[in-house]
Amino acid sequence: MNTARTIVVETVIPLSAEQKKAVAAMLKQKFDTETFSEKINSEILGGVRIMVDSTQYDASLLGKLTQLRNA
Amino acid sequence: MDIKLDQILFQIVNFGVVFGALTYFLYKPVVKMLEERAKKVADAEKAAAETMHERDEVESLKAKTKTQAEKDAAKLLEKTKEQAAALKKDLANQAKDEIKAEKDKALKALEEEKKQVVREMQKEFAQSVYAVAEKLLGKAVDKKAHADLIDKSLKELAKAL
Repeated sequence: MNTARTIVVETVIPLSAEQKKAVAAMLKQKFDTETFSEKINSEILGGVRIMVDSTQYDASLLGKLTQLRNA
Repeated sequence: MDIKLDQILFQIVNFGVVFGALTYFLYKPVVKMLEERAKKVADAEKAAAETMHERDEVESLKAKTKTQAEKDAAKLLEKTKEQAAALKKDLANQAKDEIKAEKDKALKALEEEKKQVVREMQKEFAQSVYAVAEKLLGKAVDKKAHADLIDKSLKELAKAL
């Protein structure tokens, strides 16, 4: 049974069509869904941060800098 | 020369009286005095001999006691030396252990301090980088750069997921 997931993709600028396709393909492969919502968030500074329900997959610059600061 | 009998008798009686008087008044007291003196000398000699004997015994006891005391003192000295050596060794070992412990403690503290300094430096460096990057990215990164960053991040996520 495939439960509905809430997936939010955060970026600093809107995703291009190709990037949206790439995100959808990745989500299909990993979570069996292509549905996601976009959110523009300048606080992440750059890159992408994906929230799948309450799980965060952070590849943003903010995340990397935070990791570096906490190292 | 005429020999008269009564004269001879008188001479004999006279000699006997003189002899008896001398014997009674002179010879006996002198003999008695000599005997007492001889007795005193014998007693003194005996006392002297006893004293000498006692002195010899005392000397012997003294020598024996001295020898025993010297042996005891030597034993005590040897024992004390052994105890002192053992104590010295124990103290040396204890001091060595304490020095080693202090050294280890100091090294550990130094290592901790070093790690702390490195951590603080890393943190300060990261904070500086963070502040500079935040400032630069907020103002200077253009759309193409952001798009490239997004592409790169998507590739990273695809690998990580």
